[in-house]
Amino acid sequence: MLSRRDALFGSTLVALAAAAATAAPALAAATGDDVAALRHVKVDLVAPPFVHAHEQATAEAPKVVEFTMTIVEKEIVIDSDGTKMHAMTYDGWIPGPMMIVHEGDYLQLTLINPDTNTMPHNIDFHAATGALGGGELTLVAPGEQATLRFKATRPGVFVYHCAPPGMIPWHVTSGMNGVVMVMPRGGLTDRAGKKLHYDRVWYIGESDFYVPKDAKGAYKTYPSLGDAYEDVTKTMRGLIPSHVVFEGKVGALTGDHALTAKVGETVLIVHAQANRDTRPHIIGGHGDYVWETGKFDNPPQTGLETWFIRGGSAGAALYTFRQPGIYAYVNHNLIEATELGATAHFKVEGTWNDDLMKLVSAAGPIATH
Amino acid sequence: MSIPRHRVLLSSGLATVVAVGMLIGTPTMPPTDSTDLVILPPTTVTYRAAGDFSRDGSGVDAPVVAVTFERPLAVMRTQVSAAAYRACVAAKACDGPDDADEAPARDDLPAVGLSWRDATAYAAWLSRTTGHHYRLPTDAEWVRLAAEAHVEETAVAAADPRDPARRWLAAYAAESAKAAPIDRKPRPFGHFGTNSHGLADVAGNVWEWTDGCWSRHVDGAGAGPRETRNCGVRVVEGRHRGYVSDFVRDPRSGGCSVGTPPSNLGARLIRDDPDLTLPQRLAALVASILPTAALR
Repeated sequence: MLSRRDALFGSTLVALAAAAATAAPALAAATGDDVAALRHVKVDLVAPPFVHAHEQATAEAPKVVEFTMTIVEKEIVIDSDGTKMHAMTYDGWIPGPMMIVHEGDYLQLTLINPDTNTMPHNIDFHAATGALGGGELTLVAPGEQATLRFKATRPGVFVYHCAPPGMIPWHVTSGMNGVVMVMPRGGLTDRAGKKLHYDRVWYIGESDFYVPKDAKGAYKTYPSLGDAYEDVTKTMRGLIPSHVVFEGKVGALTGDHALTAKVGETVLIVHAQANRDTRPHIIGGHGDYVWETGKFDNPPQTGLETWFIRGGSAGAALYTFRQPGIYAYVNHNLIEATELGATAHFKVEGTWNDDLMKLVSAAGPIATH
Repeated sequence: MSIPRHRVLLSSGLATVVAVGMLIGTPTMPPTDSTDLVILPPTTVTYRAAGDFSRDGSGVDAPVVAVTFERPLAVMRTQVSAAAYRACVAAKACDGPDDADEAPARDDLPAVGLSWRDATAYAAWLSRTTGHHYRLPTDAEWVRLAAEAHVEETAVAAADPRDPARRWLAAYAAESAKAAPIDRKPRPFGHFGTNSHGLADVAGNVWEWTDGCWSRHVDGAGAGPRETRNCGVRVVEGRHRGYVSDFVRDPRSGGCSVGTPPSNLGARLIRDDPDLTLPQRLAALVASILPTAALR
């Protein structure tokens, strides 16, 4: 049975491969011993949509940044109607927390799968080179942990996700995906090389969920993760999500949970979709600088209205607020935004700018003269 | 099915209760009405008017208005039941899903998923079958029947005409505050209690359509107050007031809006009756006793 925790183990796990670092042109390859000698820094992860404190540009030498994530399987509520889903999560969050390093640093993750879980899990870093992004080396059964280190050779925002043999999409669309951000050592720049700075990062993890329905159209619930597998897989194969949400739930970033900023502040909005295409748009705003494919060695596009995030990737958009009010940040497939849930709200305080917008004549009866 | 209570409560300000029972289907009888009604005495209600109000181009809070009702008001004790609405569908007088295979609709659960058009069609059908005039309440009548269950709209900070975002942000915060999710599952009548008038489930998880139209009231400098109405959008009342297009059966928020939409849409009707004279009331009383006794 699929719910058996040992079902997917065909071979003994190798603990850790030696660091077979691929040398980027500007960065000399290091041996395992050299890496061990580098400064090691432990960083605590922060729940999305926020990210851990970090430098945008750094003058430091490359280091090893250590993270720990615990996998949590749990039933969650994904909309205001109380629809339930058996989720699989990194550290209890959908999306999994963002890990930030600089190009040339080493990201070292200890992945813990507590024995309270029922499934084996692993992690595939799109930012990493080799071994299926680490997925081949990190498969951990309940009651196990593994530690993987990889060298961050390319700057950008990259998806990570669970990729257990035979059931990758189920794990990914059940919540097991997140983002690694690899900052250029000199920070972000525009196409002319001018430095770009942000006041904060907002990390939007978009998920497509596939909750099965019964004959009457009501969402089904299941006693366990394993019990849900077969129906969820059938629903997934229809390719029509029941929910498309940010941060794991309809309304996770609206109302009391809306993101807040002030006029004049600049945010870097990182948007990830590990499985399916999406198209972020700020209603009432723009993308000042957009790395649509999310990779900072490419010059950012400027002044965009909507940008495209390919399924299985993350993108980044820098925006400075110029006007107070409510902004809706949506997947501009508006059916997915309004019917399925892919909407966040930004609450921006500040002084209204009449030059940018002015209501010349308020709504009222049609003039008759 | 048990014998319906066939009880009509009438009052002409004295809170008199008269039992009127009539046997359905008796050939010599006029159309019967088994609707359980509560008669509310004349009163004055004070509330914040529905609609959108602006002054000099900026949004302002709706004014508090006082409406005096000089006549009693006959109101359904419960919302229209699922069984009653199904009967209207079966009579091809109401629009509804073809669910003939389903279990019989229950008479102790409210009909939900009604649009304004559905509710209005039901009122017309009930009027035809009973010989009485049933209709949706006005917005003011709903406030009256709801009594303490009516929750006043939250006043939002005064607008700064030069900064439209301030009122917008305040309104957003007010909307967010009432975003508590409510279980949508229909509950048997009485589940949400009765209000001081004895009406069941006012402001439970089924919002009630009113006949009120969306309106905009513009008070501009020099121009005087002007009003536009859009009767394609009607006022719904419940835990909070909402404005819903008349064809919508399942409202939702999302996109640029926030807050909780009505959990369900249903109806509670008003019955307009001519004032009965004393002889008419006595005749009704006599008529009620005979068939009721015969049934036993």
